[in-house]
Amino acid sequence: MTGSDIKHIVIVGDAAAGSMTAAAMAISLQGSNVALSLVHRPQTDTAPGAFLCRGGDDGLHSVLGINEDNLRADTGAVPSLGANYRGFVPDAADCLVPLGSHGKTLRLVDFHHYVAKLRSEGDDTALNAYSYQAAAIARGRFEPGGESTTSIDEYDLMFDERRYTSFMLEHARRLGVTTLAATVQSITSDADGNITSIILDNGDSLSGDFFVDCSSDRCVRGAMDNAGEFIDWSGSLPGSSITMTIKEEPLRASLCVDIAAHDSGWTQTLEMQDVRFETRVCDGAVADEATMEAHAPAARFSSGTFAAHWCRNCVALGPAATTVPPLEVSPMHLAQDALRQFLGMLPRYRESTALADEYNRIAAMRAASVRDYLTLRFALATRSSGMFWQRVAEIAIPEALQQRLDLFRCHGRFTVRDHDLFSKSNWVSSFINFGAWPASYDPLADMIDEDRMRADLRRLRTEVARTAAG
Amino acid sequence: MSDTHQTTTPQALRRVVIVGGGTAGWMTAAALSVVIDKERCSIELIESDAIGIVGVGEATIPAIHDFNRKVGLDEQELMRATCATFKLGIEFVNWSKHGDSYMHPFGRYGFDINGVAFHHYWVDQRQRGNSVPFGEYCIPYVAGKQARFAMPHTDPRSVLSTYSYAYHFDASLYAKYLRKISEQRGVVRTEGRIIDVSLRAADGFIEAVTLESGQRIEGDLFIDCSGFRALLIGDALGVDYESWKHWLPCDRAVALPSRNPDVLEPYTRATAHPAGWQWRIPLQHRTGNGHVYCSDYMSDDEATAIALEHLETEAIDDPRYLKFLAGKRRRMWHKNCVAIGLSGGFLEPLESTSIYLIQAAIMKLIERFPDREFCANDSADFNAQIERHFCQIRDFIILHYKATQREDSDFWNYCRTMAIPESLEYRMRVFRESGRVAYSKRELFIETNWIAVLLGQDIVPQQTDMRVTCTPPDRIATQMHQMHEVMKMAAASLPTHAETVARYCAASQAEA
Repeated sequence: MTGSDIKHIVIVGDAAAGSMTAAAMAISLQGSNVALSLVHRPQTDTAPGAFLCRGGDDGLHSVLGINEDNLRADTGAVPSLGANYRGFVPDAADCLVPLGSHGKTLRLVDFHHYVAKLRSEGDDTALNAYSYQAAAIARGRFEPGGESTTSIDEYDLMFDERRYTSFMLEHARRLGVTTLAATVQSITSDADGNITSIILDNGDSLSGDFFVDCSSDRCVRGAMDNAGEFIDWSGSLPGSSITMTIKEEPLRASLCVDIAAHDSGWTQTLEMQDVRFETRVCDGAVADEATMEAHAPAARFSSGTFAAHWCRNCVALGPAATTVPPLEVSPMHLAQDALRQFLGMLPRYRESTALADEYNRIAAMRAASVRDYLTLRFALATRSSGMFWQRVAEIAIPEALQQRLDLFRCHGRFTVRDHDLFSKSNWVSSFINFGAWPASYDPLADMIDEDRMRADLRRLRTEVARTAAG
Repeated sequence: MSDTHQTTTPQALRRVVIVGGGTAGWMTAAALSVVIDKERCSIELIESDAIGIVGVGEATIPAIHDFNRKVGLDEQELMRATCATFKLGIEFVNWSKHGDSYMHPFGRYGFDINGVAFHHYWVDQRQRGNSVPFGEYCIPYVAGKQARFAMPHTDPRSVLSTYSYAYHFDASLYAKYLRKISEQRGVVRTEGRIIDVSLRAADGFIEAVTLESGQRIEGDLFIDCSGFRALLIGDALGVDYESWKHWLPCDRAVALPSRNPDVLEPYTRATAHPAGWQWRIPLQHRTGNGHVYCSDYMSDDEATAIALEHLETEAIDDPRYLKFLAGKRRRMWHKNCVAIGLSGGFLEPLESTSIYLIQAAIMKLIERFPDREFCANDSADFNAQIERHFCQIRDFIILHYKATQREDSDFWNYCRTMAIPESLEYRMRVFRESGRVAYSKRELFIETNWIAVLLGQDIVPQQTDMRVTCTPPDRIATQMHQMHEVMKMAAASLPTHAETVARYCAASQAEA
């Protein structure tokens, strides 16, 4: 009872997800007798790429005590403050969805109701006029932790995958993680279906008590008997092939993810200091000009998640557990979020049914919440040009999302649910910036003195503009 | 610019009618009076002096601070006006077995070590023979047992910042106090007994209520605070009541006020009896007592006799009897009627949640405040949220009955072996097997609350967090010993509860 029968945990995963998981687990288990091994593809095989994850106090790095300033300096990471959707709603200008909140609750009424009220009276000030993040994006200036930007507490970081991987591998090794550059060929299991070892491409076998699969091809979890159902989200989230182009050119950091619709899908652009990663998303293999100049051939993907992320002595985490199309949520957002849960639920015994059940309960809610948050963008997209977008108009809206849409459209209301991955502010910002203003605002917004309210809003707008300029 | 500039949505409510005074009615009136401009929408409360109030809940939980803040109530004034005392938690006596006791305190246990919750270390150390009770690592328990109380510190580095508090107060004085506040803020009170409720022919919405005097009061929104009678939501609109008696069989209470004891303790006590339990709530001017019991297993006379036998001080009034049924209305918001308080549902006061449930419904109503279109999405969302609150609190209360080893009465044999909601079954299993509490951050009772009661009721986890093994056990033992010493010293430094009450909020003679 005071002992533990898990002595060796094997992590399988490439690049950022694998190295970060290994480092995070090593930090959490410092001082214990548990050995950690990481099996990953050789770094030279790692394709160039970029990803986003949450920065600041909300991010996993700060939870783990990894100094973010050092991490940014060593990896050249740049901040991202939101996502700019272009061409999704053709009659609107860009739909910029900034992170963070817009204004504060006034007299128990959420801020956006006042903006909606002014709008109903003909004042067309955008909600983003009250967003520090939106103002910083417009100015092209933001330094995490900087004096003038203390109003911005929610931001993402954009990393170059190779540099991040090196940083985390070194961190993991320093903390005693054994790293093996290899690929997994197969697994062996015992009679109960627990994995006993993995067989590597060099013929070696590596045994372990517990396995963490964060590989994007689910090479361990996918090889298990009864790996469990994989829930396909392609009915709600379009896109099934990606091609990446890397452009090395000096650029002004845009401080946000650019997501531009085109007739056969969209292109997500992440801009680092002097390199730009463009990921073109289509349905099926579409060979067009952009694909031709891509460095890598089109890769297929299918959005979805495992019904149960933790199955016997194996947990699928991040890219191995859930696939979403490249928008503003990257696999690393999901991997880090999953790790935060998992690190608090590390099993001591192989038979940890209750922990697995609880982990899976939470993971399923969080996965559904991400699916809905991203599906919302397509539910609100009105673009009709191109076959791709005609299919988007017919996507299946999950019931929970439909309820949220109905609730918001009527009076601008939103209810946070258990284990939502995004805040009420993020959702409200998504609705409104995609043009889904509520039919009517909160009637209690009428109860406050209107002149005072207008003055309050004006003051905030000025403050936002001033802070961004400072 | 003047008032003429002020705009309103065309469908804005013009009249809100609250039916019933008492705790629910006046809490609703006071809260709505903050957010509603009476020039544009009137708030009217109808109550009859001839109808007594149940005066639910003389004990509260810390969530009430949120209500006070939002409604703009001054704590000292409120405490003076209601003969209030401070509450650091609830002591449960004889619940898991005879002779056992534990506290559900309003505070944290110990400190996390390396990001791992304290209770994992406590469980691990207990297996290694460390026998210091869990409560000894919690300021409200240590201070409460010494009848000490002072306001928590605001500096998060101080061990005296690790707790919160609530109030014990006189519920009828609370209603009286809120009435005064509400009337000052423009709520109109109408005296009278309702004899008729008329519905609109077209859609069955409530149109007006008629008083005995013949006066007819129309409204756009009706709030049913008529208590168990449920005049509007039940009688007029016919929304069913869902009984939870199979999970919470107690259906009677006998209330018995008694004199104050010599020592004023800053906590509620809930003592289990053969077919129910007895509360003891110390106020400034008296002690509230009551025996909650199940009529299937005990007569009123027996219940009264047991209650009297367990009074710590002399009774000062005749016993008062109450009948109830655990459960809730299938919909608390139906058409243009919202049920708040006992008309909407009842859970026994074991965890002092009655006032909280009123507060939660009021705040949710404000968040989903309607206009005359009465958007069905808003009311459905309101109903789902309130139902969720009821179910989570219900589970928490059932846990006290289910997790028992008592075999000394038919009542306890029933409770020990009864089927419980799947949601609670799951939580108990997860905790037993892993030491984790399956909860979400949006619940009223969070991890520490569940841990207090789960461990208090003798459900000890079979597994602790793996990260406990990262620190050598003897180092943990030393740290825990230090924590215990710090708690003892900090608690001993506090003034007595009676001193703090006398200094901070002594009631005037008129109230007492």
